[in-house]
Amino acid sequence: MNAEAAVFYVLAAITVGSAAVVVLARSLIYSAFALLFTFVGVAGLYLLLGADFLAATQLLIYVGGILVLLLFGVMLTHKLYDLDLRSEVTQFLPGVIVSIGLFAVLALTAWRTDWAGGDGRAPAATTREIGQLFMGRYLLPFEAASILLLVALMGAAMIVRRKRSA
Amino acid sequence: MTPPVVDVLPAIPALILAVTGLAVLLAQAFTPRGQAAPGAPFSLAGLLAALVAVYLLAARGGGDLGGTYVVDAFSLYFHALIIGVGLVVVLLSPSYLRATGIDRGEYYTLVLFSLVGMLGLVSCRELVSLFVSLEVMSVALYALAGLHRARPESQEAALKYFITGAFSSGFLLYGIALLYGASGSTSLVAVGAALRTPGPATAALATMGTGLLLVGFGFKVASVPFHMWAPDVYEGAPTTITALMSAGVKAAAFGALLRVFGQALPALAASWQPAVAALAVVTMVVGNLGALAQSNLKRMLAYSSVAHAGYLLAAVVAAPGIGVEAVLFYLVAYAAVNLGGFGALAALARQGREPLSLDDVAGLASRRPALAAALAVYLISLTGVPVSAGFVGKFFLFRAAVNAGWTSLAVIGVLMSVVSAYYYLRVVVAMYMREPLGEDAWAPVPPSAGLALGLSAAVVLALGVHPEPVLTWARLAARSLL
Repeated sequence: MNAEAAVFYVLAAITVGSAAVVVLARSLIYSAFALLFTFVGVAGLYLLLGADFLAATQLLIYVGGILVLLLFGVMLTHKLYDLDLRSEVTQFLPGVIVSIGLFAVLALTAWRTDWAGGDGRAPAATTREIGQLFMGRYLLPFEAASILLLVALMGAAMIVRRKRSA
Repeated sequence: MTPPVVDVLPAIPALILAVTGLAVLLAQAFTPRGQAAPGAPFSLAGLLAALVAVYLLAARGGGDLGGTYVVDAFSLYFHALIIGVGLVVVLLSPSYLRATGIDRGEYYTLVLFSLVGMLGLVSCRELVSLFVSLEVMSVALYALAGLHRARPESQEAALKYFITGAFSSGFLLYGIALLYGASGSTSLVAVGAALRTPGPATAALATMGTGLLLVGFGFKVASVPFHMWAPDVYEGAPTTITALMSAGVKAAAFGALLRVFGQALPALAASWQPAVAALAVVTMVVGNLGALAQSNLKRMLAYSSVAHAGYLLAAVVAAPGIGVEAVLFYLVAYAAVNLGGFGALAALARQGREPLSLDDVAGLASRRPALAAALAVYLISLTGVPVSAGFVGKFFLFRAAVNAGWTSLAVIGVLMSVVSAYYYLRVVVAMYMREPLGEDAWAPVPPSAGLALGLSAAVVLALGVHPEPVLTWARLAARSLL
């Protein structure tokens, strides 16, 4: 096992392990903090693949933005941080069967596939190329994404707005 | 460094709608507090301009935008259909919004943005762009479903639609990732070429990706077993939005399904056809049997929409080829009928209430003869009685299935159509054979809604009597997909 593989397994273990804590933790605040490690682990995986821009974005947006917002939300919301999150379990057995089945099929597929590798060299700085693609070939989806954000903002504002007494 | 030149001309219809949406939003900002901006006239103007742009684009022979967005006969067909759906929904909206007290400026903006997403969905030739379009459409509709702030059903619909929709987007994205892993590209054409010469190494990956895509699209078109959100969402959402969902979303999702499976995955047809056939069977059966048990008209139409996803899937099995044109034709017939059906309920809304039960529509023929006649036309077309668009459409759907060697699908489809006659005609019987109950609680049909309903009924009858023009166009569109 070379150094790269070792780094990969460490990062993967951090990501998956902390993601499990996010799901299984009883307190919302534990979940939120565990999410920090998941995000950082994913950023590390991106770095390992040579996707420097993606890794930086992941840290800036998810860790710097979304997670901080989430923690503020949890801490400022009255009584949310010691709320028992477990919901009633319905359809336990079918759920277990479906998820184990799906996991088995996906794992088997991943295992059996002869993954196409690159040439082993990490790409040079990707930022420039990503910028050019966004302004050229992918201009339309890039603009569509800004509409998507506007729609999400409007929708959120509409849903949380106080009821009018009309 | 000079920026690369991109020819945005092919995307003009979508751009017009997006700019109109922004204009409506700004107009609302400049309107005095407590008043509503003229959203409907703005939107109508934008939609008509977009329709003209589609016509001009068609005359120019379509176009291509950087390989991600293509305007061929197939997407032009859907452009015309989706913009038409938008026009009818906007015509139905003002009176309904006033009657239910949800007249807000954002309504028209969100409707227009969801239409932009639909246009993108049928035009994208690249999986990531397709996904972004799908999200634009869906997120706008999640918000619109919850527009009735005061009604718990509407809040439930928004939450349910959002959660199942996000879940299904996850499946779709996973499928896209696996296809990218198998082919090394997200372009539909490149994926198709890569899968045509499959190595054993990536065959399992591509099949798995196809399966996950099918699950994702299955949610969006409300096919069984991914339909459980549909009745609650259709019932809880404002009725005009339900009309938009059942006509527009279904058309756009089927358009994307046909394009992805026809252009990227024909090499895997042997593995996805049986899966689609199985979905078609359970969807037809469960949708129709579910509709039988409903007493609420909106829920009944929701289950009917599930059942129709089944009929359409039966012809998707026969894609590419004759199946595609059958689906394209039926989507027009189906859109007109559903806009009419939900639109008729919306047009009668008064003081926050609308007719939802058989008792509510009892004797409607004596009080609103024109509206009852139109509603009868829609219901008869949904059943598939001759001289209606539904009959011609179903005939082509089932013929496509038979020609492709799936006779059993056609047989089940016909049997289920017979079952469906019970719940559709029950409404017609209530309107014509029963005496009205109590006082007339419903609004007189407003002129703009009357125009929309008349248009839908005219399309239904015209397609039933003289289907040739639309069929020729559908054939042309289907051919451009190959």
